[in-house]
Amino acid sequence: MYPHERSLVKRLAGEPFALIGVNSDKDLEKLQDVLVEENITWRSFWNGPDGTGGPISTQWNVRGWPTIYILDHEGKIRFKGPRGEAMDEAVDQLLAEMKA
Amino acid sequence: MVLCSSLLFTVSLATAPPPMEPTAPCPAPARVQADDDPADLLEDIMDEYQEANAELGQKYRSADAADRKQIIEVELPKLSESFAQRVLKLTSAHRGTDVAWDGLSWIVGRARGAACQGDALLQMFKDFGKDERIGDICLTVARGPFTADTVKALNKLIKDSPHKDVRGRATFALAMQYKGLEDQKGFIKQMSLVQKKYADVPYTRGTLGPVAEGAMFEVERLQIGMVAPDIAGADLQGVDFKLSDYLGKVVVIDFWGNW
Repeated sequence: MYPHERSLVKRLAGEPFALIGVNSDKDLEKLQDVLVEENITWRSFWNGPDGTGGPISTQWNVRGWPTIYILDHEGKIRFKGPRGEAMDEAVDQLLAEMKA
Repeated sequence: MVLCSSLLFTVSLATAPPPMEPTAPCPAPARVQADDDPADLLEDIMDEYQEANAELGQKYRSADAADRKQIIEVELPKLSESFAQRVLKLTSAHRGTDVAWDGLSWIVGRARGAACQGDALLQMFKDFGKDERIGDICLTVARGPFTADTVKALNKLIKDSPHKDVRGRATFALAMQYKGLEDQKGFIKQMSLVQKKYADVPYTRGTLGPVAEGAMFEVERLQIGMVAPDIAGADLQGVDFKLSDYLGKVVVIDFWGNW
């Protein structure tokens, strides 16, 4: 999953686009190495020491990882769940809408 | 997808149905000949199922991708259905007994994709409506399949059960049924009842209260077209920020973990 997200972030650099993660790893220290190794440049909230039982995923009723929401530039939820190519298409559609 | 199904498959193949605990006395079955003992008959069917399931697993492991798909989507449900039918025949002949409970539990919980799961469920609710163990079955029912018959059966269970935990779990299952049937009003009504009356009823982990709260939040605040609720917290370097900092941009929110 990291390669796809990396290429999406790279392709849309300079566009009004952001990939925001909510990370549910329990051990924040261990994760630091992964960020470097996997070149994870996008910003993430940390879900806290309870991991998948943390406050953000609990509030958002997240039951599977990864879970994806896509918001338009007005902050409205427009898509739930698309991954891979479908994610790219959804983002491109919203960017096009924004510029129209 | 293939990875996902194969995982499911391996699990269902590798694990024997859990041994059923001896339970509180039920109406005693009529005295029968030893070789016709329904408990033995059920055990025989289960043994046979194990064997057939293991054989299919063997076949799966040596199959190519196309054959694997065929095994998962066609042969496995067919296998489940044929054994579920045999178990249902047995439980129907011994209704209300421990054997019926064990057999129906197996169909409802384990016979994945079997078409007669719904029939087994209705029989269970009808014959064991006052049994405290039916609460566990409600948690299975909360995940589907979603049908009008199940809604009816759950409503009756909520009316009839003398156990608060059962009524709470049944109300939760009813809410999830409405959600699956896309009846938002029904969902909100039942899930609010769970929050008000049954928040302290045990769930698989913890209690129903927080689960109900999450499910309500999702339906009321996280639907397509709604403005996303703000998130405030610290990033992985400990710097505070908010989701709303990114208003004006298209945003992908990705709940992820490195596992």
